[in-house]
Amino acid sequence: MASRKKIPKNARLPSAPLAEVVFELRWALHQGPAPGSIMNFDPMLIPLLHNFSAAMEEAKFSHSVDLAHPLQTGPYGVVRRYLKNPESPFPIMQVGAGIFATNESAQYEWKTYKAQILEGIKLLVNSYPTSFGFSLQPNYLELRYIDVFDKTVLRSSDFFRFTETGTSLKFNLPQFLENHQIFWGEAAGRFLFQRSLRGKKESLFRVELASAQSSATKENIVQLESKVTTAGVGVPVFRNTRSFVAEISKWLEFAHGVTSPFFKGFILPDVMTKFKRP
Amino acid sequence: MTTNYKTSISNFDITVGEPAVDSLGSGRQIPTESHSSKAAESAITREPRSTTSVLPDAVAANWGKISKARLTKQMYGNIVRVATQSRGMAPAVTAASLGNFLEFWMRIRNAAVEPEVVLAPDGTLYAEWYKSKHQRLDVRFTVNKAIFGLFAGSSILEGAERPETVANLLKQHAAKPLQWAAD
Repeated sequence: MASRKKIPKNARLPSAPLAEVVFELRWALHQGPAPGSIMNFDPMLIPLLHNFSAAMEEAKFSHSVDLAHPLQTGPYGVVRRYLKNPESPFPIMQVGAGIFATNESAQYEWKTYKAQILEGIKLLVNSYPTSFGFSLQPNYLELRYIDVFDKTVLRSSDFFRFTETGTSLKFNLPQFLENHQIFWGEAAGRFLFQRSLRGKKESLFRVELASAQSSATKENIVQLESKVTTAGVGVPVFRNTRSFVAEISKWLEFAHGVTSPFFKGFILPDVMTKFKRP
Repeated sequence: MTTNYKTSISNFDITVGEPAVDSLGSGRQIPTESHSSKAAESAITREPRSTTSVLPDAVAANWGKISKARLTKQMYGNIVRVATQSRGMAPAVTAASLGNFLEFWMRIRNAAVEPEVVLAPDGTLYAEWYKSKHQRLDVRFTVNKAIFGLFAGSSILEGAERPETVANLLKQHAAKPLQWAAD
């Protein structure tokens, strides 16, 4: 496993819009009691939790939090989260009914995060019980970035002013919608883009830019979610740990090779400079 | 009709043009993709989403302030931990309280050590500087005010004022309470 840079406790948090990055791997579940049932389940979930928890302990993710009872968790629901210690909320490993995920926050750095993902996957596939007639069949991969922008870094979190001054995405609004005699306050908005990716079957790139408001603070923020997903035949088949981890490593570089240049081209340099200012 | 869309960072309602709540909601649905090549060109379909994003609402709502506050990794971890604590059905710390604490912190950080942060039962954030049982400062951050109690030896000073006023008062106090830390 690549070594993770040890960041001292008094190291400052990087100043950047990235709030969270999530990797997900999902696998096929056993069909529920009737065709089309929503009660699909993983018959290996309980022994998987036992094995994976022991593996997490060895990997120094020794603090765990149960979110739900494994028998009361629906398909792809997270059952347990693992932390290095209770004071450090990130990084996190998560496992549930047909799902593994690992998250990082502001201290994200690609090489370290990729190593974290591969370590988690290796421990997951080695923990998954075999010889019981139900095998691990991964069927979904996702690499997702969440960035948040508010008035602290931009003068306005009006959706269209943000896109105009902070991004390379431009809207040409009809004059009527900018008529101050008819409208007041900041405009909210939502932009959704989705397109198939070349290079990997059943792979999509999706961008979701949306404004949101807190009823408590009455402040608007703009959230950017960008992700690469691969499903079905595009997901590597699990045959053995070594080859599967190698294939996931290639997939991660493929996904990061889309999300990273997208972000650099989408958010204008002026916005990133404002994050750095004290 | 209001349609509740939610992005994965938080449980904000992305109800376009309408105010929303920042507490955990039910019935979350967002449009997600269908992966067949033909379907990708068609309308985006909905499916249940997983619960893998863990960043608390209040932290997401104040991300800009968190980025500018020059927090240490330890203090950020404490804030996220407090913001994740459960208060039954209610959200942990409120976004307003955390936001006020961060504004306060940005005003005092050059003259202060990092405090202990604690969640009060009503969802407001407490910051505490403690040196001894006779040298203690508590500041609680509500929606509009910072409510403080300062015990400095034999003197007691209490008040409720805007966070910036409290910040200036404490920075100038002769006992330097913002630099108190347990030995």
